[in-house]
Amino acid sequence: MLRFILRRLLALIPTFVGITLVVFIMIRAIPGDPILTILAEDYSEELAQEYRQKMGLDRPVVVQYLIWLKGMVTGDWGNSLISQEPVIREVAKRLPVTLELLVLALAFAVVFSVPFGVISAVKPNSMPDHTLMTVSMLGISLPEFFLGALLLIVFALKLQWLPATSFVPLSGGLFENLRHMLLPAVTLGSARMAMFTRLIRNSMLEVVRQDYIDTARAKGLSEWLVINKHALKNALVPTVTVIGLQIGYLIGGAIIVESLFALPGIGSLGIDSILQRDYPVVQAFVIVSATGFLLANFAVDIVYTFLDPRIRVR
Amino acid sequence: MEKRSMFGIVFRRLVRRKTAVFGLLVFFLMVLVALLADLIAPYGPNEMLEGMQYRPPSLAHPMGTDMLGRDVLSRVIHGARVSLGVGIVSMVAASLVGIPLGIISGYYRRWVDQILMRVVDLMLAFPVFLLAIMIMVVLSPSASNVAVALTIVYIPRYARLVRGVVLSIRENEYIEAVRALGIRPWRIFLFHILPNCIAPIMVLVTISVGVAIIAEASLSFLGMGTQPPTPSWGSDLREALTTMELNPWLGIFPGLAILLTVLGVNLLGDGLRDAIDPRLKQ
Repeated sequence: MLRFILRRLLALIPTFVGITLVVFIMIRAIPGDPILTILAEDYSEELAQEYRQKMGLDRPVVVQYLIWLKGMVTGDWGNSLISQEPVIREVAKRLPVTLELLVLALAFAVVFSVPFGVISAVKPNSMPDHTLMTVSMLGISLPEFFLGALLLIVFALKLQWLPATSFVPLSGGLFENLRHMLLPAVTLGSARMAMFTRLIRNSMLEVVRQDYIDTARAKGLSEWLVINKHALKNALVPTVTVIGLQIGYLIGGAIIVESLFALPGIGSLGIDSILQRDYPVVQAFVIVSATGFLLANFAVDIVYTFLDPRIRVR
Repeated sequence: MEKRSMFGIVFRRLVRRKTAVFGLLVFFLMVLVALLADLIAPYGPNEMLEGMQYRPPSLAHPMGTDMLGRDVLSRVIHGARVSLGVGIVSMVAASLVGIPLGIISGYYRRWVDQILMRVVDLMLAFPVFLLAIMIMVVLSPSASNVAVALTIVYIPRYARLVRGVVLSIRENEYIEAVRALGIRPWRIFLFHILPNCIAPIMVLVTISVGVAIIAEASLSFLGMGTQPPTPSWGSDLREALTTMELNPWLGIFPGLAILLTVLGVNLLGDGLRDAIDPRLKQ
């Protein structure tokens, strides 16, 4: 198993290099001379030449990329053009917020979608099934920023049950932290919950038709045991792969949700840096997000092989 | 003949499902609204009415007016142009590029396939929305550039899907037969391979139009898409946000417009999938 994990981990390296190459090209494809942006009013031909040499911009592009890649891998991500702070420090400060948001949203989605999916599948085409399917279809069609805005107005501004656009880190107490994370996590998790509910329902309907379910019933097992032990376990296996794909949407959604709720995470950092043209921060934001997506898919892969050992034998 | 009957079957199955019919009607209604925006909108999208700022919904202004005294209904109607325009144009463009790439990749395999699929893999390594944002960083923010970005984001997704279908089709004997007849490759692609890819593509295109509409609205909401004063549901919602506690209608109506449109597209896509492949229907 360890060898299997190691081999999969090594297979990520080409993709990671590919990601850095895309980001390198992206930053260089932005119209405008970066030297002009940095020097602004101090611009002179000699100073520009000096800076070009200092930043290695006079070297061949391939050399530039390798130097840049070395910096990215060794943690030398440059300084923010706006705050002059090292980019990596800002990212390290904000990463936990985004990770917490993603974990809470995913947990919210999974915790509710499993029972909903089972309820729907146990009696297909019943009243509860129709209701859940209608609500989940609405959930899938609802953009995060609209749902978030509605929740914000109702629960934070009108009812004042929950804080609006403020943030308390975990070090400020778990309860206060969760109170501040509740609305963002629900906003981000809702569409995924709706998606998972439908998936688990379909997967369950597929499974309950199998012979071994008949066998379990024939053995005289209670319906509860048959559904929750025999059927659900197998129905969740295909769902796990889909969760991997859905993490991509979660990462995209986190950008919007953080921006809407003014959470100090990677996503809001990315958007702010894009709007301020702070490119060292922009590239760090993209690389961190894409690498996170890569690692999340890797983790899902590993979990999947644990659940379904047949995959390992290829 | 054969082709028409396939569409006939699919269409008849589609209209048997109430939700699919609802989706189809909503979608067509929205397309109609977008096309006829100039005729049906009571005011111009940027027409500022003197002394009419922040009016709640009334008979004269069913969706109220905004901070500049503009009629929200008229802006929502014109916003349909941007949303549906970007959604439909980008997905049609992506399939026009992605389908041929997928066919070539799946049909010729070998090095063509290797190269194309490595590029596709790399693009799929980025989450949809992140890749769209990255492209918008390079392009300047505008509705048409959002369409360009979403086209680029979806090309590899279509290419991958079509390649998979083609890989299974090309092993069929009838493909071998037409090749033995000496029929040119482009004729094989167009008349023997493409028709078999249509069904899964239609489902993916429909569902991705919904995703594209949300993506356009989200980018505009973040200030990276359609720029004010051009009416767009996403950017109008962003502008409404600061005063939404006092004037909820400013944000609710553009939001509902997105919800309704995407819901229609999703229901249609769901219905299409069931109609095309009844095995998937429970």
